[in-house]
Amino acid sequence: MFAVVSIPDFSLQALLRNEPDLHPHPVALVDPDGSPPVIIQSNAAAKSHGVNEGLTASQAAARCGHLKIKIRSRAQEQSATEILLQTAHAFSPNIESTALGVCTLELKGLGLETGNRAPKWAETLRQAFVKFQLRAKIGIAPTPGLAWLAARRTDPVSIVHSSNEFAADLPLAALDPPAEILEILSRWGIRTVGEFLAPGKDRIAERLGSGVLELFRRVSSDSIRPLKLVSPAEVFCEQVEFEKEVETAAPLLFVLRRLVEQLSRRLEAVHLVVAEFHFQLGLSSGAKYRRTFKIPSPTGNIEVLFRTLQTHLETVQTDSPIVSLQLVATPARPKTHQFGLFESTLRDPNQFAGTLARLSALVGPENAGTPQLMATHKPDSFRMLPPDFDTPAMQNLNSQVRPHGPGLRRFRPPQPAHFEFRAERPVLIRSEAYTGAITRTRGPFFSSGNWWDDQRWAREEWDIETADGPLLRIIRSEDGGFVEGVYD
Amino acid sequence: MTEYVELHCRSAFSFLRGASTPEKLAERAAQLNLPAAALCDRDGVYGAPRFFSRARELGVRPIVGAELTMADGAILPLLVQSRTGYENLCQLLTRVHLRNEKGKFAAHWNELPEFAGGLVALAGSESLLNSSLKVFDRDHLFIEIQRHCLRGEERTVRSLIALAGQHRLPLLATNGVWQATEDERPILDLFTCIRNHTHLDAAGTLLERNSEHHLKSAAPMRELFRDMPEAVENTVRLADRLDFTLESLGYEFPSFPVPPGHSPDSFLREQAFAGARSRYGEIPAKVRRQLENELALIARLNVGGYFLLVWDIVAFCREQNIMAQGRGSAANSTVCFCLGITAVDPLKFNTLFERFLTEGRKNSWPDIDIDLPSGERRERVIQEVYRRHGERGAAMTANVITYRGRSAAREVGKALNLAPDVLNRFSNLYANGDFPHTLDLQTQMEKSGLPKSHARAAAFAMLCQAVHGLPRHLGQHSGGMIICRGKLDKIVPLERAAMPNRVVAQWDKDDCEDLGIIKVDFLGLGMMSVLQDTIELTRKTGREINLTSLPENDLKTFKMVTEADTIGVFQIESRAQMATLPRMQPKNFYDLVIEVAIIRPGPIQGRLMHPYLARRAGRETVEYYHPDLKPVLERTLGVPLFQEQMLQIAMVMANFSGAEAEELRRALSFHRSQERMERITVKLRAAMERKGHPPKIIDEIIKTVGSFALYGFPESHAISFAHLVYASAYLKAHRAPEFFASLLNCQPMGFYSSATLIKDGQRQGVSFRPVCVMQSGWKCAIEADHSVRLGFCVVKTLSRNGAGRLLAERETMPFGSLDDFKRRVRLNQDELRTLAEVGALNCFANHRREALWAVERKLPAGDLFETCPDTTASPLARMKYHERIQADFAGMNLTTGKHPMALLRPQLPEVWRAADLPKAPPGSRVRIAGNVICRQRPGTAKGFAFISLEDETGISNSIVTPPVFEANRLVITEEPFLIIEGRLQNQENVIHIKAEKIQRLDHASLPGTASYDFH
Repeated sequence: MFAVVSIPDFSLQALLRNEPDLHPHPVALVDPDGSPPVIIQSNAAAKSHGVNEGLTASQAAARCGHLKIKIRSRAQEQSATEILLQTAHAFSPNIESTALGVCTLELKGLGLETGNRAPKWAETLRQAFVKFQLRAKIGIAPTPGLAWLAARRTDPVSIVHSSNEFAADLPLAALDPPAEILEILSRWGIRTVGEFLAPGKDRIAERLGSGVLELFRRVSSDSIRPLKLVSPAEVFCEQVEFEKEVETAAPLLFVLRRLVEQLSRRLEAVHLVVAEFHFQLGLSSGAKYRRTFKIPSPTGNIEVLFRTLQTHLETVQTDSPIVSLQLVATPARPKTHQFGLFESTLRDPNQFAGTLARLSALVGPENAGTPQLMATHKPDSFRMLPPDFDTPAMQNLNSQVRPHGPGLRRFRPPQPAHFEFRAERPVLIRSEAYTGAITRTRGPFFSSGNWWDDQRWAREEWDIETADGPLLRIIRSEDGGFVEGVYD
Repeated sequence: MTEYVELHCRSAFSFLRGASTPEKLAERAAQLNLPAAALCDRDGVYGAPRFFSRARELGVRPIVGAELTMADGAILPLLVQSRTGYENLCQLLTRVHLRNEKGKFAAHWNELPEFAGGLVALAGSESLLNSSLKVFDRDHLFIEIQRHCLRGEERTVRSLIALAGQHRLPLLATNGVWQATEDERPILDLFTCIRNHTHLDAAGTLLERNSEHHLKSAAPMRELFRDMPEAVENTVRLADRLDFTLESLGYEFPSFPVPPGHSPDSFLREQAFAGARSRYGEIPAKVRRQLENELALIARLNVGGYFLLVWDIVAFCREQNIMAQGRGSAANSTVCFCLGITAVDPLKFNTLFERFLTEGRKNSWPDIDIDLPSGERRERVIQEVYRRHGERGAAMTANVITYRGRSAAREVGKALNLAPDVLNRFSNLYANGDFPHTLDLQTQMEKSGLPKSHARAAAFAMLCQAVHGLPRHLGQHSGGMIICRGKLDKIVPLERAAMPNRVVAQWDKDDCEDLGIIKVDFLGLGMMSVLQDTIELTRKTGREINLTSLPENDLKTFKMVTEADTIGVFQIESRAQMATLPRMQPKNFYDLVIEVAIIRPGPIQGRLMHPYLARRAGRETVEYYHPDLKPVLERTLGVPLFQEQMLQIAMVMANFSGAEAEELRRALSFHRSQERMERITVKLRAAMERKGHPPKIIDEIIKTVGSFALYGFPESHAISFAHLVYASAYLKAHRAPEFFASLLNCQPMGFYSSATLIKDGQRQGVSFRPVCVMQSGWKCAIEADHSVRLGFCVVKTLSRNGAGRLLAERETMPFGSLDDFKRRVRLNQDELRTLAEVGALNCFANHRREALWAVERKLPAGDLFETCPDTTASPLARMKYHERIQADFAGMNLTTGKHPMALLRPQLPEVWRAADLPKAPPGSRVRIAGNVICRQRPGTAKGFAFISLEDETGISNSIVTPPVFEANRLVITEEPFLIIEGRLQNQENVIHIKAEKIQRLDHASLPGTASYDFH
């Protein structure tokens, strides 16, 4: 005996699992990789407006003005697949990831062949998915193929006793024939499995080739294929839905600490530690707040793990109250570290990460980290990246040719200054550090960019020499005049 | 010395490497008081004629040049010094373009010496200088230096100065102008992104560092180069040496080889009079007088050779049995009529010869356009012209494809890195056309998910407007050819067209006309093919008709026309035409001429259509702007409908001379220049004021002239078209089977799909038989009982080669069985399945599914002639009726069976059939439904849309107001079947439903045909 769990409209369900409020509304899913992008799945509310697979987004919107069009998410499908396999694995040790949203379970040894236990068992299995917001259909049959077909019927649970009777009315598409075969059969007017079986295996195979025999095998009650057994991925997730909306940090931190403890203990039991936390807050507005915390040095230490999250959470402000919290731990094997004699990597990366997180909270994440130069004409443009502890520092050095001329020591931030211009050239500078007549100038040098959005910038640069001697780079921009640096 | 000449500009005709039009560069140069400027477009002189025209008007001397892409990646700017230099440049560009595939240009240094004469090179880098020194002598080579206020550029400048000293070469300052003004830099950045297939966020240092590549006047250039004033002074010295402009192009039309003892004029005279005798028999005095006048003028203008050349091409068509008919203003010429170039006798219609040719024409040739059957027959004529004049003696004129509406917005959006779904929504809101009336850019942006507050919304709107009309790429004109005595590639660079065996010039037809290059238009008309094919079919069926001797004012034909039963008829089959015919009630040929001319944007926009119809129906009195205009406007009831009448009004009311009338004609015909139109309007107004006409009349006339600038028809052109209208209507009325068969054979053409044509044919009593492998040919044909047998050409997946093998095998021996057919013809499975599905194999089977079952059976291997028939019966059920209809549409996009709406009818008891609408009381609320065959939203309709629905009885039309359209925009544009509810309007037997409610008709899996949208 075999059971198949099928999640109909799997991609859409995977997406709506996190947005249950959308269930009553017409929702359709578009695959952005399609050419052209078309609707691939839609819920019942959308279907009632004629929004079917194959329509373009515009055609669908024409049929249903208030349709919500969602983009297919492979990541969400991946999460749902993990839940599917992990849940199924709890019911049978032998499971197969048969197709997207389909899992086959071998029922041998579960004692379901005899008596009338199968329906109750199947219903329990189905209910197990309900708590994950997944609507599953269960099919039970003597072969994996028939079980799959049974799972594609309209009933939530379907148990096959007689294969011929069961298959006759099944729509042909349930056999998942290759597109070309389906088209030929459709031209022949064949719509059901019964009509397909009627002419006989040999006559059909004579015309459509031996490949079509696979379709016959799928409905045969004595054709049992071996399952390709899989083990579910080791993903550890804990989540809480608050009964009352949370508006302050204290209750959130209380629950969070408990989740961290639980996850840490679960991992400890299988000799693993936390490498990464995926943290998600569900907000009452329906929005989500998500954050990934990479643990610099994977650990199972609850205090270290909790502090990493706590430092960040203390700075988080959400637009609306929090209704749910989800924490997913990515496991790793504990890392042992032998420091080399001349190695300069951090001795305690977690402590450094904690310090950096506190700094980021104070100065903003855009002002802490490792700077990386950006490919733009805007001078000194860089962005902050999280520190990379695994790459030796020497490899970060840029090997590009050094610029001509003397080196420029930049002031960060540039020093405000006032300039006097005569005949469009600067003649006098007044700033905190430099004041006096300008004796020599070179310039102007103009540059500008990002004219297409609110990051637009434009600047006029001069190299000047003052009577006192220093050689300076000065700039004029919308923000005023500045001394940008001094040349060596 | 105080002046500066910019000698290195690139325009938008450098395709994604320049931001400004040539005209704008010229205008900016004039504003900056530059005495001259040089346009050096990349790998061509694409923008040179426009730059020349505008610069000359503004008093700036236009210098010609080009940037050459070298095979080593270097870019070499070249300036033309003399005509020899220009010819060399054109020939060099032609050689490299013709050698490479379209869009790939790579010149070799070793081929430059052959073409270096008369050219000056600019070297802006050491490597460029080293290569150039081997090609150009010291008098023709300059070191080009540029300063753009960039940090680090001074090192390059210093090294170039050192090189100049070392090689004793002069320095030349240029600003490398890629944009006319400073504010056009975003366009340049946008083009950089498009060229590099990236977006602005990722383009980084590919973008311009600042906006300094704009045109500058002498003062800032002197300031930039104050340390080397000679570099600026040299620009003026060099410009003085570059004395070539496009004015001295040296174009000569090819001479026509006349028999010994003849000059072109005498030979033309001989041919014209011979033709007159053949047309009239005894030549009437009036004709003789007109011929003498025209021939004298032709001789004075020295254009006799041109007439002979066109006459010769038309003679070639006649020899090859290819219908050819001159259109346009040539139909005003008795000489053209007598030479057989046109079919219209101008004296019969009193058309205005001056519209065609006047003394005042300077540097401009008469315009003779030839209509030919579209497709292979027209291509034969074009290839004959190439054969006669050589690959480099004739070329198609270019067609400049510009950034417009949807395509512009998409490219701008991609460059701005906007989300694809925003761009898709934006494009979908265009729905196959641009509707500026009810959906402005801002609203469209907001509807697409790009609100005003979006950080990039302003840039999007600005760029969409800025790139609108800028050239995107160069295509070829549909039929315009230019020819030159000697070598055309000395006059204009030639390129390979995307189409095989076609060579295209770098200039479009307006450029060519401006520069006095003669053009002959070989325009393909689907209807010419239909007429020719119909005539051939009538010959085969023994019901031959001669188009030149059709009976005049045939009653049956005009009854059909007045009832707007004109699907398939040339020009008057459109919805707008069909809505006018019952009101117009054409009774004779000249009514058709008016009908052709009146449904045009010009008359509609000028509000001339309704006055004409009202006067014709006697509801309005016939009035004239001025009593003197009665002879001019009498035949159109006082309403000017034709361009010729505009010229005559100008002559009568403003005493315009022939030359001034010619200026007006060119302004009316030249769509590109609003300014040209404004100039002549001012002149016309002043002249009428001088004659003391009241301001009201002057205003009315000026307004009418303005509307004619928008696609007004010349009367002669309307007459030529009316011939085709009458001929096609006559054939539809009297030879319907042959006519419909030909229409189907010439698809795609016209307004309607094959499915609609078949339904119309059936309503006319024509019987259509399905495709059959034992009966059909490639084309639709007429059977003995005058039914139309559909040809293989209507079967979607059947290749021409496959059908050819089928026909050849059948010719050898009829097929004995389906196995015999499969074995001998060897079609692929797709082709066999489609033939079976559409019933074409029913000759071997009891029904379509039996054939489908049989075609899947593999033939036994081994002996080719071995037969092993399938003796077992097919287990498949016969197709139901609606399945057959579906199969027909799936395989052919048409059906000879019932209209799909007939099958839905039982479910639509409240819906009126198209044929029943005349019985509904006007003003009543009705519902109509059907397959959408036409969606239109003409620019002249102020946002109103028109939707035509086809059902099993005919076509019903609805009018959609702008608010209803906006409320249902996506339903209208996306759904193939609609139900429309609204009030019925019946105006002089023209029925429309004024839509109030529009909804999708759930047609389940019934097929819908393609519609003709938004044209």
